[in-house]
Amino acid sequence: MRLTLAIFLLVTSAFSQSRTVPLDFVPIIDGRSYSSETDAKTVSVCKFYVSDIVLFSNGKRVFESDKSYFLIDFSEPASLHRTLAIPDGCHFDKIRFTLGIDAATNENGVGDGDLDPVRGMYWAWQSGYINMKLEGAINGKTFEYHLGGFQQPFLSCRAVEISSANDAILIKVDPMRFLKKVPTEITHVMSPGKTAMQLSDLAVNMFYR
Amino acid sequence: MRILIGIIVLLLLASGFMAPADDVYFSIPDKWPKPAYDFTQNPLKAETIQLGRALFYDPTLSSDGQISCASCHSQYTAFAHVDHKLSHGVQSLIGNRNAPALFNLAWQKSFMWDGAVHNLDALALAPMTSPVEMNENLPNIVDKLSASHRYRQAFAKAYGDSAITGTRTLKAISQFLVTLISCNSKYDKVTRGETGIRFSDNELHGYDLFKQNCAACHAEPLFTNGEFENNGIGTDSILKDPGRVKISLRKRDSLRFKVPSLRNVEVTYPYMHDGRFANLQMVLFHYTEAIGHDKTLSKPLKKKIVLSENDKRDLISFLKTLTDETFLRDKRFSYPVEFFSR
Repeated sequence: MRLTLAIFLLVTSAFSQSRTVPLDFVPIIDGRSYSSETDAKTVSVCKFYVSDIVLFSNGKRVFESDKSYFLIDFSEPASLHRTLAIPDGCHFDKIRFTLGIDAATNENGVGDGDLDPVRGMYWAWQSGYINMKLEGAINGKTFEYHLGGFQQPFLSCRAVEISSANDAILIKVDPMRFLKKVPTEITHVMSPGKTAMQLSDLAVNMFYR
Repeated sequence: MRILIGIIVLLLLASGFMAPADDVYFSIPDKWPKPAYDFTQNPLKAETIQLGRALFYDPTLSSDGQISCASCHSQYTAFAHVDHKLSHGVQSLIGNRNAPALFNLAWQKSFMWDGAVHNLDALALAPMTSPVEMNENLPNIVDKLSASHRYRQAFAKAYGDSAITGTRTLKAISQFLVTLISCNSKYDKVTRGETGIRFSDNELHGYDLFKQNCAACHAEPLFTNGEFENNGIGTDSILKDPGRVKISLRKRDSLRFKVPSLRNVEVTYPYMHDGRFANLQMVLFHYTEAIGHDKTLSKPLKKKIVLSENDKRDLISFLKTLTDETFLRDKRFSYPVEFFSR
């Protein structure tokens, strides 16, 4: 009996192909947990795309997601908790993702699910995805940063790399780490161009472990 | 006698083997280039085309329920807004550009006078959400459609389930739009060598003049090279429209606008991105007498165009041969009475 059981387990484990890794984004404001009740004035909107996820082990690529696109939204708790199905036995220590949507996906037009323009992350007047929307007010001054653009030379999606534990990926997102670096005279960015590029470079600072 | 019967039998057999029209909804006219639209992302299906057609004609897509796509894109005038320099949307608010005609869209690489839209699937979003056009937003539109039993049925027929999403709505409209093909004008029939159809002497002369003076930008068979050009009309003092530069942010694109197709030009007046020229005579006057030589003027226009009054008359005769009556009257593209009467 025990032998049968052992053989059974051996055989089934040989067929188990993937494990699910939780991928969680944690809204932070100035180093502490973001609360929509108290912090909505400072950051009223924080929405961004996470795409093209790659996992590394010792600098080597060990997994690539097949074009998964996640729209992360501070105001939608369900959007913060995602999962990745990766091969069993695949170990990693670092995650890289694209903040925003790459040029090829933009060229293809509009997509489904999180890519549906109904989600409010698609520019109608000059077609293309908005990589990140950040709105709020600091010291009484309102800001609206809608960062996008996919046509050269103003491609503004950016790669973000974070080290990670092997069993779960936890990424903290603190808009203040970005806002602190933005020149004070730039309060509104709503179209592709040099300023969107400049701010997109700074936006990667939002993410840490 | 037997030979005659034999021939008749052979003809009957041959007709049985003749392939049906490639695709009832979309086929590439003879000798035309390949379309730019990626059909693999949105394979055509009869039910989806009919859904898109209904959406095109439905004013529910506007905030006040008054303005549909067809309000500014009327089939009888090649889906342009004839006799309107600029179009008016909800509450009679005026836009800032002339509504382009809609046909042969699958061959376009960019949309709008300044190429602001790069993919046909994103096109409808712009007029839908513009405050001076339809003044709506996609979530509201999805809500309105979802509340309609008629649309839930239509989406189910098109997509297999009745979930109404923004993407499905936009792609259904694209499916209808790509079927709007105009390729049966007198010019097309002559080019195809159809029996009994020939250019008159005036039209033939006009065609020669066209090839010499206009075809560099208005290239056959689409009658546009699809590029952005500055044809020297200068900025309107009120609209101050800078053209393509607003999108590309490249100085050299200043005052450049998309070359429109000249197919059906007879019925799509007034002309230019702001509709400033009421008729073709005014257009030709501009090209022969009034081109402004600013820095970004299109190269083919740097040399003076010389046309006598007779030349202009013949050129206009030729341009009129680009009118495609079958397209303007094709019932497949008109208001879908059956859909809305259910």
